[in-house]
This record gives sequence, C-alpha cells and structure tokens, in this order.
Amino acid sequence: MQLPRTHWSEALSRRVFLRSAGGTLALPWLASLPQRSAYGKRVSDTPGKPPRRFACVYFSNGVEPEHWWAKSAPGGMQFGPGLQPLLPYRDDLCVLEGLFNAQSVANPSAHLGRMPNLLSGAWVSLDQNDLRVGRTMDQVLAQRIGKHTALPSLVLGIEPTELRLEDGLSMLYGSCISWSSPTRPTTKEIYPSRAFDAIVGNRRQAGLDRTILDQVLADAKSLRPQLAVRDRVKLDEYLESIRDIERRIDRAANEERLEGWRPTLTKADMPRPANEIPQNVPDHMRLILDLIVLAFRMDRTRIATCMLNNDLSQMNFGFLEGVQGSLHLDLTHNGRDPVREAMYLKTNQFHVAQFAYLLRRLKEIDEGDQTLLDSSLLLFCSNLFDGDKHQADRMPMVLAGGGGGSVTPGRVLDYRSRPVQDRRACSLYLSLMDRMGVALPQFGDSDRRLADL
Amino acid sequence: MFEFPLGDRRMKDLDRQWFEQLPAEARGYLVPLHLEYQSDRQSLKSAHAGHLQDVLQFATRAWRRPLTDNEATRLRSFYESLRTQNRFDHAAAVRSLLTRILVSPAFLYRAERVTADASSAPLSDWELASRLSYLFWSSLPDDALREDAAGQRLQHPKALARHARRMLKDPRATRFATEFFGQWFGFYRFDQYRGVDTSRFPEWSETIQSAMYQEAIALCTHIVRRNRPPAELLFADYTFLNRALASHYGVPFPEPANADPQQASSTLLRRVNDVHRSHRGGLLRLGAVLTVTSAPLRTSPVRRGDWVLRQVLGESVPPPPADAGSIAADDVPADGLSVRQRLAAHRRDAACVNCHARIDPFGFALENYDSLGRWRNRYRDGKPIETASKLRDGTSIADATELHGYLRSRQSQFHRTLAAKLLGYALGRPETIGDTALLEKMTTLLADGAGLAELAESIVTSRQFRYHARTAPTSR
Repeated sequence: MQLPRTHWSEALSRRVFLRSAGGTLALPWLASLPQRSAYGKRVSDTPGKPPRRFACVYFSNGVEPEHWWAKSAPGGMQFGPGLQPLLPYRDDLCVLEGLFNAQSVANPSAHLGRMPNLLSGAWVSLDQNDLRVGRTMDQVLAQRIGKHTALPSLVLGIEPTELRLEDGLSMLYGSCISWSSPTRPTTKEIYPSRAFDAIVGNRRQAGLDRTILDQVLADAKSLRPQLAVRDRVKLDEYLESIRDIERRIDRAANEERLEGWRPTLTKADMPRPANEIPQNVPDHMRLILDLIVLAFRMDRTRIATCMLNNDLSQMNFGFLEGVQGSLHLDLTHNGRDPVREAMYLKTNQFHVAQFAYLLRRLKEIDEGDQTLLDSSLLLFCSNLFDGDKHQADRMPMVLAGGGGGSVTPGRVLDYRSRPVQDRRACSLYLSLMDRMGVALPQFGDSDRRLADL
Repeated sequence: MFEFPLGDRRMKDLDRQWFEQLPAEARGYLVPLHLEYQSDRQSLKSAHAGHLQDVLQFATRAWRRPLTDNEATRLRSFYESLRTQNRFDHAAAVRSLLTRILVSPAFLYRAERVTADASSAPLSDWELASRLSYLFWSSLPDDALREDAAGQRLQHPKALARHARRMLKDPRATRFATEFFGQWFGFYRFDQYRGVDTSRFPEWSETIQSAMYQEAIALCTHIVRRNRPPAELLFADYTFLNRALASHYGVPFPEPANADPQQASSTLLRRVNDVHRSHRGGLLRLGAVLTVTSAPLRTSPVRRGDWVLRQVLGESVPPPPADAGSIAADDVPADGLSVRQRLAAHRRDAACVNCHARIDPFGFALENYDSLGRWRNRYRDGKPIETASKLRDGTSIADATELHGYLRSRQSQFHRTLAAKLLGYALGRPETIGDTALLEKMTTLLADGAGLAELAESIVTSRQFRYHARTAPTSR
C-alpha cells in the first residue's frame, strides 16, 4: 500500500491507481446517490428566502495581459477585448484587480507551485514525497454548511486528473483546485452523466449501498491494526471516503425541510447526459455548467467548483476559428508572436464566454423576488495574470452575482496601488465565506476582510 | 387447443388437486410438463449453494489470499440477510455480494500486514505471490502462484526465482513492458497522446499513432520475453513495423513471402531487421519517444536532450526557473531565426547556460528526426539541419549515430539507471542507502551480459523484496 515515489511510477497505472484510489475516488461501484435534500436552520439565510450559492469557475494558464482590463465609466464599466463576452452582464459583476497569493509569488515552481493553492493561499510543497497544499475555501464551506444539502459540494472539471510528473511535481497539483485537506484533493468529476446521477440520485439503490458500505467499513476497521503506520494513513482516507458516502445517503433519506423556501425545481429539467464524455470541448463545458445550474436550482448543493482546464493544459482550441496549436505550449507561451498572441486572446475570450453562459442561465431562473444569479456568488479566475511570464502577483478575477443582496455589483475594484496586506486573495475568501454564513477569524495568509466589497 | 383459467395462481402454486379437476386429456399433457418444471426449479435451487461457494472462491482470487473463517462466515451471512431481510432473489443477492467483495479494501488495496516486530518480518506466501504478479503482470496471481503460495513454497528464494523467469516469458509480461518501460521512457498511454497539431500535420492519424505505440511496446516486450541484453533497448538494429508505419518512416517494408493478399492486414506489426541504414532502431529512434518529446508544431531539442540526460543517463536536471521565457512555437518563425539560434541566444544568458549546455547538445543530435519521428534533411523552409555540437564534457557529436556511439561508451550509466528504476518499480518506494549493494550487484550482472531475467531474479530473491520494509518513523 505504499505510495510509489519514483517518478516513472507516478504515471497513472492500474497498480498506482488502485493503491492510491481510496482517498481520491468516490468508489465508482456504488452507483446510488442521494434522492432528496433537507436542511436545517441557516445563519445567513432568511427563512423563506433562497439560500446563497457559491461557485468558482477556473481557467488555466492566465490571460493575454494587454487585453484584460476594466474601467469604470458613466453608464457602466468598459471592458478590454479579453472581457468583452461579459459586457451584457456588467451590472451583475465586479472586476477585481490586483489580488494575489503571497505563497504563490514566492514559489519557484512556475506552474504547479502557483496553482493548487488558488483557493487556499497555502504553500505548495515541492517535496516529491510530501504532496501538500492547503484546505481550500470551497471545501471549508462544504465541511461547515455542506450538511444542509444532499451533496456537500460539486467538484467538476473538463480534463481528467493526471498523475504524471511535470518538473518533478505531480500533476495531481495541476488537476485539482479543491482540496478537502492539505494532503487530499477533492474528487473531481468530469463525466456529465456521473455528475447528473450524483445530483439527481437513485433512491432504490441507496439502501443496499448503505448496507454494503457498513460491511466494508468493518473490513477496513479489522484490517487497520495489522498495517504499518504509513499504510494506515492511506486506509484512513479510504475510511473517510466511505463515511462521506454514508453521510450523503443518510442525508438523502432525511426528507425534513424546516424552512419555508422550496427549490424551484424538484425533478431534473434536462435529460441524463450520455455515458461518454462529449466529443468536443464546447459541448462538454456547456453540459458541465448546465449541471451546476441544475444542482443549484434543485438545491442539491450550494457549493461548486469547475475547472475549465487543468494547469499546463494542452487543450486544443481548433474549434475556434483561426486558432491552432495547444493552449500551454503554443498559445500561452507564444514567444510574443502577434499571430499567436491573437489566438491566445481568443482562448481567453472563449473561457470568458463560458462564464457568461453560466450567468445567462442563472439570470433566467426566477426564485421568487430574485433570480438565481442574485442569490449567488460566482468567482471566475485564473491563478496567473500574464500566463507567458507565470505572473502570480495579480490574479485575473471576476466576482459575479448579488450574493443575496450582500454584494453591490457593477464596479471595478482595483487593489493594485494598495498596501500588500490589502491585496490578499484570502481576504476575499474570508469575505465570501462570511456571506455564505461561515465566519472565520483567519484564513490562509489573511486575518482581515477585503476592503470595499 | 386447451385453455385454462389460471386466475392469480402461478405455475409454482399449482397442486395435485388442481390437476385432478382437469379433463384427462389436458392432464396427460400438463402433468409431465409440470413435473419437468418442478425438477428444474429444484435443481436451480440446489445450485444456489454452489453459486455461493463460487462467489467465495471468487473472493479468494479478488482478495488474493484465502478467506479467514470469520470472513467466509460474514460473506455468507451477508448473502442470507439480503435474501431474508431485503427479500432479494438469488441473482440480485449474488450481484450485491460481488459488489461488496469488490469495494472491500482487501480488493482495492494491496495491504501487507505487519506483525508486532515489524523490523524483520518476512512477507507471507500470499503477499509474495501478489508482489510477483503485480510486478510482472500488473494483475492477480495465477493458479501456479496460488498453488505455491498455498503450499508455502514461496518462502524459498529458488521458487521465487523460478516464478520470475516463468512470468517474464509469459505473454502477460507485455504488461510489464507497457507499464514499466512505458512509464520510464514516456510512451505510456501514447495511444491517447494529444500533443500533435493535426491542422499542421494532417498526415497524423490514429493508425500511425497506434502503430508507434505498438512499436515501442513490441521492442520492450521482445527484450523482456526473449531475455535480450537490455542495452539492446538503445542499440537494436531491428524494430517492429507495419506497412503504414514503415511508409510513415520511409523504411522499406518487405512483404512476407507467404503473404495472403486477402489478409493483407496493414495493422499487424512485424520485426524488420537492418534498420540502422534507414535511421531506425532503438529507443531514441522510436516514433513514440521522438513525438512525445516534441512540441505540437516543431521538435524540442531541450525536451529530447532532457530525456536522454534523465532517462538514459540517469542524471538529474533542475526545473527551469519561472521567468525562463519561451521560444517560438513554430520552427519557421517570422523573424527567420531557427530554434537553434534562439536557444543559442538563450544560452548566452548566464543563468541559463549551466543547464542548457548539458541538455541541448543531446537534442541537437536528434534534429534529423522531425516532430512526428520522421527522418529529414532540411527544415520546412529549406534550411539545412545542424546536428553537430559539443557536449559539456568536451566530446564532439556530429549526429544521431555518433550520439549512439557516445551512449555506448556510457553504457554502465544506463545499466545503473535501469537497476534503480527496476528496483523502485518492484518495491514501490524510492531508493535508499540500504539498496546500494544490491544495485551494484545488478549493475555488475548487466556488465557481464545479464538480461532482465537475471536482474529480476536478484530482486525477487533479495531481502528487500522478501521482507517487510523496516517501519521507519513517519514524518507526520
């Protein structure tokens, strides 16, 4: 049960996979997932009002710097070309300028040392034998308030979790923006069909799964004392993942609803996606974003993250007219070739358009006095600004939605000329968690809220 | 024609009285039918016990060891409770029992149990059987291993050595070639590689990609199963091609004498000899390796050089700094500077020269191979290829052939790399100071002409392989 340490053996093989699967897999054999959600009294939510939702949509490899800007103007913000697709929603969002994670700037590993800590502000361990970052703010929320819904959180992506090495570090880093603990990434789902099943559920199967889980939990407990200490750590991750599923099943069985508010959707309003991953990237992204909308609408979860691509992604954008080559090697690192810079800009705009699509969908949904967008906090960001230079000292960030009346959108919030302690991304996370009903004295490298939000 | 109103009754509920009230003609027809039905039902039911026994047998395979009495009892009672409490029928209960066996940690993890005195405990026979089968076959132990484990014969080093040799000859050793060499040399999952720009290279096809992947696996499998000297991985004067790949490389592909024109399957690979004169043969000239070490639009002497340095010579290379910058994505950029000229400029930077002077020359020597692994004499814009350069130790290298000559002179370094990688793969842990003697023994064996079978023998009979790792205090 050792984790293989030599670099070649970290590539995904059945051996390695099975040996490390317990911690990062939600046991694919157990098909059933919750049917109904229930939630108790909430700190942040007024009874009868829709609950607040949080989502983070991530894109990798930064932006084309010259074209990513926003400025205040009479009649509404003006956007640089990179942000153009968001123009119809400029009154629903704030553009955040100049926030960063100090631990990223300090990390010498230009990509993987500056990515998995996006939502935690933690130091990324460069020791091959010690994969370690920090618990991310979405998972802090999931652990604190996730119990109110069938799924504590929804962690989605487009590209698979990779285990190969890049510059001596595991690509697990580059594949995960959500971390349940400093050493354990949250399982990312890239199959729309499986995410759909998790959201919509299959009640008939749930009782049986519960019985099976009880059995294997007992297996694991009797195995534990016979293992070496290092192996026990691994087995504990397995135990924890089993308990996770059990808790989910139990919550699903509890049909009580204590508050007046009801989700506007009780049955899925979209068909179950095909088992396979969609052939082309735009279809895949759209489906995954639709699933976030579905989960929010049915109130199956209130917390979601979505990676449009992995760090160092070689995603091929051939589906965009006039774009060729792969994202990281050819377009991000474009050698300042104007033709390639223009292609890079197009990929930025494509990512922004995906986020705009999410906003459009959420804005169409009326939840009583307000739209679903009004009750949401949606963060759209990358961990680097100028992707070619691996520039981590100002992350491109957009915060959309009204947060249930807790944010005034339609503004540019520029922190670039402020002192360093006022520019911490973790201050933003503290402020966002406040609004979701989780008030922490301190998070990551910050102990203060973001000014002016 | 008969017609019988059965009402709510089902076939199994019909009794003698019901039959007796039937007209004689119908009775004569139906009674034997019913008897046959009853006997089928009975034998099906009596087979249930046997099915359950089969599932328990399946569990011993899946868990790779005999079940304890307690485990067997628990599995049986799980089945019983599904039948009685959940009212599952036999088939549903068996399916659930199989699921339960396959999500158990005993299946998902390869757990090795430690006794109280963990410092020097030998592994059990069953644990050794798993170590062997996952090392060579990436799968469960087969019957021969299970028999010897059950008979407690695997405690004898000779038995382990015998199995190692047997297993490396077996067709399943292809998995070892695929997993171990694939991960080491970077062609792992090459069939799913997406790094080629297909708008620039419309000639790139799944057929070529798949053939390149098979070529790499075939070479490594050949070395493993025929127990060839591992240096042949680098220097082989043969390779494995099909017609499509041969034509992609521009290598003459003699049709076999007995070729069946109907069966002229172009996908099957065949061994082709004397390929040095067509610039092929060995790892460095495998299409898969040359392609994964390229960028989508051009070759990357840096990546190829890094590959030779790390994977063949086993030297460590630090990662580039964050502000290393980048060179043009294309090989014929607008400013007319070649990749090589750009790298030369890059190396004038004092911060960069240390590493790049070590890395780049190996890559330059392979510049005659384009980013799809094909031989070329000129770049796309007609400029000639420059392959000559000087290694940091002062050796001048004119081209790929001389690079191979140089690697031959450094063969012991390749042998040491192989020994360390193989031991790490077998034990699933990084090299420690305690491994030095064994690695030296293995390197000496290789220098004396040993093959993988001899290396595997020395590993599986070693203390490292047969005993629990000393339980070092954990870092956390």
